[in-house]
Amino acid sequence: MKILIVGCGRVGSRLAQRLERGGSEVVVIDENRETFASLGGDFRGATFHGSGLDAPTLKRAGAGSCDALVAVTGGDNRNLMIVQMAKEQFATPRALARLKDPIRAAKYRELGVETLCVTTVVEGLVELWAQNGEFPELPGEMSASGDASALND
Amino acid sequence: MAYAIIIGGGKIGYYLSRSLINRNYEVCLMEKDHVNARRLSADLGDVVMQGDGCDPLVLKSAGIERADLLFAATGDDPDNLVICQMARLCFNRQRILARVNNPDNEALFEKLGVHERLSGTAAVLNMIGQKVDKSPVILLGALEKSSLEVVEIIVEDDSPLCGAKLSEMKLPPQSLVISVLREGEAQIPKGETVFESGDVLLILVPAALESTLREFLV
Repeated sequence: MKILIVGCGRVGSRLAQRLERGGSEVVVIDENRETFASLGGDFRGATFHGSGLDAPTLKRAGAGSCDALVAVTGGDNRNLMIVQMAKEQFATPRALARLKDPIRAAKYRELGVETLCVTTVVEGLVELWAQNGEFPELPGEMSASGDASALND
Repeated sequence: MAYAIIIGGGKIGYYLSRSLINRNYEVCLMEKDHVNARRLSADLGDVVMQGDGCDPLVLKSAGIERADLLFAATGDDPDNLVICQMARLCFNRQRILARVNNPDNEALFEKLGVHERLSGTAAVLNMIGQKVDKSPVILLGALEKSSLEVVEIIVEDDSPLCGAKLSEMKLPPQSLVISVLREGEAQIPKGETVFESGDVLLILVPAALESTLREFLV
């Protein structure tokens, strides 16, 4: 599975490491070269310096040949434009936009754009926590209480 | 009275709002940034509203349901795209226009259903003049019949225009520099006006001579 991650911030870099550990081929794009340091020394995937809104950069990074693209830049609107660009211009099979705004997330889902709204996810988890006194069982190494193991590397 | 909602209080949004107000439009100019919004409302008054044009509740309180026109005029293409798509998804308005800052994005906007796109102040005024029937806009409408065109030229550092005085410029016959946009101000140029790098000139020119003008100036 080849996965293209646009945005190498806190979410993008951790996601890249996790997916690579899980056996995926990972490619990361970011406008700021310095963010690639957060991928760590043992990251084997490719990195591309450039804007995810720039079609030639997306193309070079393999938007036309990857199995999935995940847009996790800091801006909701950027993420929405990136995934639509990937779908329309490169026929990327799956493209997911990470959003903060639940309204946009719901409306774009109506359009057939895959969105994941962090606000909604947190709301849901906190509601379960309030009802049950604990977080629900999550698969694998996911944990709603966080992971500080990176500090030990 | 036609009602236009303009989103984004940059140069384009500001001048467009001012022009439309002068043409008796009812205008709402929406600006996300609080500081900018206050600065704009000191100048334009109640037409300025602080808010995020991507938020359907904000658009609703701006009266989008009775608006004749929504123009996403920010300097950011992702913002303009999402403003237009959200307005279409939530309110199904007919006249939704987007400013496209990067011409490479034109094709994507078209594919994604944003069919009315503009770049450049002159084009904006022209399009609105042609398409909103209720408007009392005559200025550019009349130009169509006389085969005159308004062209926009940006003065670059290496342009022959940079440092040139208007009275000494050899323009094609019947052409006229009607306005200079400089540092956020629209000015009517005089003979002694000297053009600077970064100036945006609006030039009225017979359609047949447009290519001559471009060769001469660029």
